[in-house]
Amino acid sequence: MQNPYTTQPPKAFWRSAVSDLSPIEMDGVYTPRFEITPEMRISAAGSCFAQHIARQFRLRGYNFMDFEPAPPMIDAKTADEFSYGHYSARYGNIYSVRQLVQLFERADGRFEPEDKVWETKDRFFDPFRPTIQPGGFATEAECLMERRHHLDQVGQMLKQTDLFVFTFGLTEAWENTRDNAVLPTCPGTHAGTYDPDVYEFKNFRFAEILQDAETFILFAREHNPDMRFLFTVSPVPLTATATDQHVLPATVYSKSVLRAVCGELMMTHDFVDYYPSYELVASHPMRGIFYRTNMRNVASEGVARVMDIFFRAHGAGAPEVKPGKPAKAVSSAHGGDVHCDEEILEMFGS
Amino acid sequence: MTLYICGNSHTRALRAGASLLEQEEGADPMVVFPLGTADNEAEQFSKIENGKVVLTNERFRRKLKQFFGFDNFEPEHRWGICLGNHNARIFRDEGWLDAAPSWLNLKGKAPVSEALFARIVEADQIHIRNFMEQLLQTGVRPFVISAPWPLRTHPAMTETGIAPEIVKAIDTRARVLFAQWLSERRISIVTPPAETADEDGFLLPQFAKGGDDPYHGNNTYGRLMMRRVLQHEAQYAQTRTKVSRSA
Repeated sequence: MQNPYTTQPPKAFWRSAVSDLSPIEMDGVYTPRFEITPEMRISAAGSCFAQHIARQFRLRGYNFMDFEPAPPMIDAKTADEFSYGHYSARYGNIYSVRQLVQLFERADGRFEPEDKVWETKDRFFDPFRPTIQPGGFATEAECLMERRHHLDQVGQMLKQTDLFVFTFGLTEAWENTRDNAVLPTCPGTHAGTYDPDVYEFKNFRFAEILQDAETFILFAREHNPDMRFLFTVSPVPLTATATDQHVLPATVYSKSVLRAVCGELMMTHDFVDYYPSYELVASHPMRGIFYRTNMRNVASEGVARVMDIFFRAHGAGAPEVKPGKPAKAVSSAHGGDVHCDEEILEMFGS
Repeated sequence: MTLYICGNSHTRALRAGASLLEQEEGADPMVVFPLGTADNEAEQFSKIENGKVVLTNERFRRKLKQFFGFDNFEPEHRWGICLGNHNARIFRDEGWLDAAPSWLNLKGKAPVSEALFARIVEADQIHIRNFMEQLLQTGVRPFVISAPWPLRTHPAMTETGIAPEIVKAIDTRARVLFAQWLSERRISIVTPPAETADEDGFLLPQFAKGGDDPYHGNNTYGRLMMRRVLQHEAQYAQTRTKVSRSA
């Protein structure tokens, strides 16, 4: 008897695609929607898991753009510590699309948040990237100058990008109630002072995130009408939730909403692709094997597998490992772990 | 106590200066010899072996034996070390064409923050600092003799095109950082005389070796520096006398 399922390939059936296979045998999980060529100018941002993606694009010889590279006179380890080379500019982790939109608004001069500089113990921090400079800046002027330079570089990005890769991280965020500026970390954790009259917890909802993503896409394609987008959802659970929920359902809510937004965007736009890194690590058929023992941090084997599947689907080879002494300031490409701002929240748990 | 002075190529001017002071003023004899060029400082050149600091750089090791007669650094000897403040390794990097120390507030250049700059200096001086630490650990109380101010004719500026104000800012801050590091370890440093610098802090031509050498001080400079070294040592001797009397 003919019906639409009779012509479906094996990957469409749970038994043949999932339950009859071990997690590492699963195949065909991702089919690229469009080609990513070595010539395409690729920029990336997102939650800390996105650092893996950026690193792999670079290592595998793609045209990964870095608009704010490390000064060449510093070594790779120092560059990594000072958050150079993690993404396409030194903006640190961007956990929400609202934060991403506001970053480009700031670079465009259309938004100037009230939060300028946070001072903590005579050191100065950029509220929108408080962890990029270990120990903060020496002076307020230095912090402001570095930010001006940073935003100048970010301002160059969109018109020189053919593929923008963004990893959705969290729905939970903190914003300044006076101007709705979204912060990457809660004030009073890495830096700054938490004032409940100024800062408010925000748990973004589906419609808000979708709207923010559409706003970003529109804005980005104003700079390059042919720009394509690759979206992923970070498989890294919340370190802590600021809701009254248990952190597990809070995580599932967060990831589900983000995953749904990605699906919606992909169904709406043919220039949007979604890569299921979240599913390849966090879904139950994977049995948690790609997490470390805390069931939060993704093990390097998990990262490698996720990346291998992605690049194999795109017909790319293995990462390029250059022999000999590592060049200076080649970014975090030689580093191992990624830098996740939210991990500090573990300190506040009992 | 014999004063021994060794170090990189800037030691040559000190040697000439010491010679002049001995001839002209009858200064006590000193043993002053360079061990090799500053490039040798860019890699590990020393280690502790059997409780004494030995030089692992072959050239350095050979020169220490040849000129001083030593295989290692003994605590009973007084050593002046002419290493450090040779900041050309830092400021000659072409990266400074596009970057500048943040405190200069130069538009159009990627700012290098104070913290990042401190890392650059630390990385540059790591083997010198290790050597100093090793000397302290083995009971040697060294003092440091600074390299001269940079010359305006240094190819970093005349050929590479790095702005003199950037070179000067790098050199000045690197000297401050090194002095702080030494001070934390109670190691004193003899710095170049102020009168050898022009209004922007570069070595005046009359104190430069000249010719096709845009790096080193001349004999006049060496004599001025060695006079400061001897003053420093006189003060050191006085302090030691006071300490031993009070003990």
